[in-house]
Amino acid sequence: MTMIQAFRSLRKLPLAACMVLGVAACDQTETDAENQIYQPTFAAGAKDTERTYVLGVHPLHNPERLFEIFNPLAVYLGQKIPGTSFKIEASRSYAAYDKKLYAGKFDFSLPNPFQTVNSLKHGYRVFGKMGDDQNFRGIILVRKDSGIKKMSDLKGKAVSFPAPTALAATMMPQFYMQKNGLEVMKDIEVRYVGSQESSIMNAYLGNTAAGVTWPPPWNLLSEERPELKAEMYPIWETDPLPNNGLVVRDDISPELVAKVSKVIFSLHEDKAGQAILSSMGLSTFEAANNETYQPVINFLEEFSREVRPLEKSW
Amino acid sequence: MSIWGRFKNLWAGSIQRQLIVGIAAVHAVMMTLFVADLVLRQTEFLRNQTIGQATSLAETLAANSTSWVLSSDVVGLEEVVRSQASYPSLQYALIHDLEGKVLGYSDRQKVGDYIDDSMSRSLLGRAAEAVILLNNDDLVDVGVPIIASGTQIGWARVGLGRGEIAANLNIITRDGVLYMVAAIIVGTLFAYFMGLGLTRGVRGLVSVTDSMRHGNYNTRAKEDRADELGKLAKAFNEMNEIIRNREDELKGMNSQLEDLVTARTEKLEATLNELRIKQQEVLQSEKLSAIGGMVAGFAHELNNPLMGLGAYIDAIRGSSDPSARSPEVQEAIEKAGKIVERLMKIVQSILHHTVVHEFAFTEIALSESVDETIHLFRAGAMVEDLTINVDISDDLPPIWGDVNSLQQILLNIMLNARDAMNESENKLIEISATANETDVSISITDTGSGIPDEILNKIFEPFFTNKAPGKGTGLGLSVSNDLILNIKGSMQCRNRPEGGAEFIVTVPIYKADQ
Repeated sequence: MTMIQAFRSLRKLPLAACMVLGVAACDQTETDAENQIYQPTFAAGAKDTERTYVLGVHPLHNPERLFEIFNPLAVYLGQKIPGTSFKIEASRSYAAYDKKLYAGKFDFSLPNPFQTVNSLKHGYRVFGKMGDDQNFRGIILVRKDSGIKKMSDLKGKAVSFPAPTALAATMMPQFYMQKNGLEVMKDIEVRYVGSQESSIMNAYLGNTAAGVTWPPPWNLLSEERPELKAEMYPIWETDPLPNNGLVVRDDISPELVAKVSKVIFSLHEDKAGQAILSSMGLSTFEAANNETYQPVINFLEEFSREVRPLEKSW
Repeated sequence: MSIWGRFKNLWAGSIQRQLIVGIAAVHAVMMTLFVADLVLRQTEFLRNQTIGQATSLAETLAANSTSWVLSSDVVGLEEVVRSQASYPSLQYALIHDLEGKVLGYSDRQKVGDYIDDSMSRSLLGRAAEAVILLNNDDLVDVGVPIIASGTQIGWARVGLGRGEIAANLNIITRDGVLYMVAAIIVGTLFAYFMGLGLTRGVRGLVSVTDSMRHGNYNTRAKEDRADELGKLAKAFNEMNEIIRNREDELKGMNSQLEDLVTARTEKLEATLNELRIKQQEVLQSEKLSAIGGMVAGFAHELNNPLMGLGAYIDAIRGSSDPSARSPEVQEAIEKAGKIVERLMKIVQSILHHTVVHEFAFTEIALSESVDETIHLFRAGAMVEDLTINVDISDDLPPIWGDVNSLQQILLNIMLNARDAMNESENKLIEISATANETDVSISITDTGSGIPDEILNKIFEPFFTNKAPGKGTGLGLSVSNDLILNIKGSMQCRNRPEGGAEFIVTVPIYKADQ
């Protein structure tokens, strides 16, 4: 307690004594202003702050993990493009991400290919994409002691998936299972667990017979937790599709898009950029456009026909 | 009197008052300090507790909201904020990003707005560490950074009201003041009764002192107390006893002193009277001396003419045969001769009285001197029918003086006694003597008519006589008085109750060193 606070406390002693002794002549020295309890005040708009662009990333990981991986990219962009700042916005679920993406809340976004093609109808355009398309494939993980050897071994068992709209980690593996003899929506118990890591952990813990994901989350998590790699392995993997897209809302100026593109597509050219890419399990970003994702549209058409119907928004 | 002076008098005027005021003041000061210290400590404790609670809440809010902030999930944040809403005294919970955009707030209407007040905006750009934005009597506001992967992504703020704490502090303060007042009252009562007990003992001593001051030493202080006052009372009573005894002694001594003073005073008064008498005598003596001088001159001048006149008368007598003269002439010659003879006797007496004698002091045996005087008396006076009794012991010590003067004195007294007994049937003179350590007193009494009281104090004056004209010169006792003074003695006269007069002649005893 500071001396001033102590004095203020003591100052009230005579007042209390007056109350106790019933002395009516004591002056009330406290003012109304002093008695008013502080409350924060608010204004409708930001004050003199530079424009911050929101870069929404689809739930590749849980929000903290995703922030850890992608926030360096936002910082890097702010440093490279004077007068701007970027912030990463995660989403706790694909549904939440979809809702925000389709509401146009993000200035820039990194949706998966399925969401990329859907975003085109919601005011976004493709200006780039993640490289390493060969990694954009689904993998089906099982415990080494699970006894799962062939696709039919999964029949009647639960399989964990991140989310219904996860392209590489859900739709592509479901399509693969369908093509390899399983009636996905009937032969197995499809269990959507919300995130890549959760899907992996469910299989590791034995809650599900297999866990479905895609290579980057598996690589990162298995490096962090070697016991996963020791006890699990990817028993199947799907064919690749174009990797996650980079979309920008249509009202963002082409000049800024050009600047962002220039920075992002040249990340692999310096160490700081390489470090950012490394944490993403990626070698580069590359330029792309709406047509780049036509194969994805084709896949979605076929998936919708053969596995389960999708709401056609592309 | 100044206010300070009045205060000092008021303070110093009563031990009881000093005790009451002193103890009440001590209680007031100590209890005020105690209550102040208690309230300060409680205030500090409760404030720190509130800060701790607010900080803890803000940290929880920050931890729980991290993923929601990363997701900008205002619905999720609303749930997080709402989860804290029931916390007692929570005024508000606020989550905003680094630009000040409200992501979660107790009032959901504010979500999406930007913080606007200066205190809130002071968080923007601040280092990512917990901070107490406000800490007053009403509210504590703590901001905690929301950290994701080591990077700050926003602030979580909690505002906790302190109204309840203030109410508690008021209760503590009120109770403290009540205790303080109670302590002062109890202390004052205690001091009052203690002072009463103390001053009762002191008042008892004061009462005894007052009694002593008024001379009553019989009052005793109560000694029933076992404390110092009881010991004091005991000592006081002992002192009282001692004082009373000394007072009695003093009274006795005073009485003795008064008797002594009275005696001395009487003696002094007697001495003073004697001195006055002596003074009168000296004055008289001086007066008589002056008169005597004059009379002596006068007598001397008369003596020669008288002797001449006598010679002429004798010549006349011898010049012829007395029978040759006529009887008338012869009678005239005889009368003239007798008149001259009488005048010469008077002149001789005067001269004898006024002549300064030469005194020969010697050791005198009183009985012998008295016998010689009686012999002279009988030889010169017609005293055949007068009896003289002498009762003088041979054991009397010798006296010191002039023997002629002593015999002259005794003779004069005896002659006066003879004259006083002319009409008495029993003519008796008794002479006796007594001695003390210093003097011998000679008493000569007669059986005459005594001396009238109105002239008793005049008989030693020269020329004073109550004898018939021609029977006395009035110089005998006057001469005797002069003589006795010259030989350091004294002479007194009084009438005897049985009749007659008594003369007492006092003469100093002979001492070997004289």
